[in-house]
Amino acid sequence: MAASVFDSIERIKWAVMNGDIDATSSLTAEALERGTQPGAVFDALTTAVIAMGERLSKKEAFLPELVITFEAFRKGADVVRPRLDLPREGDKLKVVIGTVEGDIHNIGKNLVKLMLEVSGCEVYDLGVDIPAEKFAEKAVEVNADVVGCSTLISPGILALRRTVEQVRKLRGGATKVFIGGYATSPALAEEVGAVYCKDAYEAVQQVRILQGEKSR
Amino acid sequence: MTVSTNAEMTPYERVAAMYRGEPTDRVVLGWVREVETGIGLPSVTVADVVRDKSGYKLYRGIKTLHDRYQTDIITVGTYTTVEAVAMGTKDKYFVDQLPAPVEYAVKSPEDLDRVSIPDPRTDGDLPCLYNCIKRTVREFWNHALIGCGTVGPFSVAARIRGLWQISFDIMKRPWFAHDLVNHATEACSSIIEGWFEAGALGTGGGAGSETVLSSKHFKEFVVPYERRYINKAKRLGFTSYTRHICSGPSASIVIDNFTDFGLHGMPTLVWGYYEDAKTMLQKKAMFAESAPQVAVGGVIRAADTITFGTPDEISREVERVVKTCAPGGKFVHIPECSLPPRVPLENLDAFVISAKKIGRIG
Repeated sequence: MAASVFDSIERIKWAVMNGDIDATSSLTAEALERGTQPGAVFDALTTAVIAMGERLSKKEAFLPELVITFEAFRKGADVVRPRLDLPREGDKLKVVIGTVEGDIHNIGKNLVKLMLEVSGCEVYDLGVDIPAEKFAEKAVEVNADVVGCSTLISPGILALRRTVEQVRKLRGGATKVFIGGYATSPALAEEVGAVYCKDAYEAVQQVRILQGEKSR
Repeated sequence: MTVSTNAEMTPYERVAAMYRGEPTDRVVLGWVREVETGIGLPSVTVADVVRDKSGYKLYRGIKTLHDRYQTDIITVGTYTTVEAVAMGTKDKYFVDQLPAPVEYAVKSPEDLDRVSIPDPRTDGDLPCLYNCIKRTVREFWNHALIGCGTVGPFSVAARIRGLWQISFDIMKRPWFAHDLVNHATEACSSIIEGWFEAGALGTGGGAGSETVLSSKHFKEFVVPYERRYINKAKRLGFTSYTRHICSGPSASIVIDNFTDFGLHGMPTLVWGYYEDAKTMLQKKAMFAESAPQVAVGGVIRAADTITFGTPDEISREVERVVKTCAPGGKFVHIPECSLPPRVPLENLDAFVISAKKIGRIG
């Protein structure tokens, strides 16, 4: 029995990693029918997504490979989610995320959102073209641990700076600010006092550090 | 350094000598693109400029900057979605910023049949460019090499379909991804036909979308179509090609596969993202092995150094890059990407004028 559970978990991971959407869906349903714990099935799905994110970060995979992995994950997650025990409020790291005002690029932001969700964060996605004040107000409303703001275009940097200022003004040190996107850089992060994430995988690593600090 | 001669050269002589790797009186200055913002035209917004079909406001912006800097190359351009918008993609404008796509023309495979090949004289915001080329050529034909291109076949395909969706197509229905890029190739070819008719001598391609692909997909979905596009440019009679390397996870793949594009016989500038000046120098040597007239340019970050650096910092960076890469010619001084609207004028001055000064050093 243990071997069969192991097999089904590994097959789910394989299906997600290879972007086999139909197989992910059917293998997930099959594993649940066989009595595999929903939490274990969900872990298999998320492990595969994070592994793909790591491959992307190392340039072993690229956007097309990641897109189908995500699509497969979504299908599998739709099957398993109704069976999952929801974690208690307060256990999760709260993250407000969005693309700054004047910028509507959303692929990177959506990748980060999904990666953080599968890493156990409570993510509030404000969308794109978000004014600085809205980031800060949402951070206050949900008592956010992190505000993540991104911009791909250089004009977005001015809006990003305003966003960091606004969040700091309303939240002080209670909320950390993560920045990312092509137009950002480690130097900019250092200058504005934010955490630089070069990609979605690095955002997950930074969140894990915070999760560790919070659980201590 | 071989960037110095005593006699002052004309821009055409300078550019031609640079491509041949011969000495020039100073470093070749690429275009300074802040014109779409209507720089120097108070109360003119980005939307005013790019939606003015007569191309007059864009031309005025180009004139303002060219009168100030006398660059050797002028590239007429507005925003990087202009081709896709002419094919049905819907865009959104922001205050003082360039428009971006909000709704793609091809939502499902069936939509592709309804997407027509754009006519640059009439469709979308393309007439702004078409008419601006005419105006710019009339005034500056003897002062600079004037060019106009597109973002290239794959990036146009990504902008009519959406980058996420075309990535999905590549993996799950590659036949449709090929249809998309094929259609975009036809569109790009039609557009540059208009640019040539209007008087442009140079053309180009390249944008960020293809820098998210693996080497395998790049060879399958970018190279063959870009070869066709470049062949079309050659047949039309364009005298040079500029290929932009936008920053992205696989920017180096674009550079390393560059020789597959079939640019033999066409002077080409491969400009944009290189890790640093030393890498750009190495790539210059690599290009020289397979194509005799390929120049490089870029490195200095438009969104970072030029926008937020001080004039002194910019001058130092310019000096470092020019002194590393200009010896031996085949180098154009140009930012690594389009300049964002509203870069401080003193920063632009530092970027251009300090390069001119360095170029005169013997």
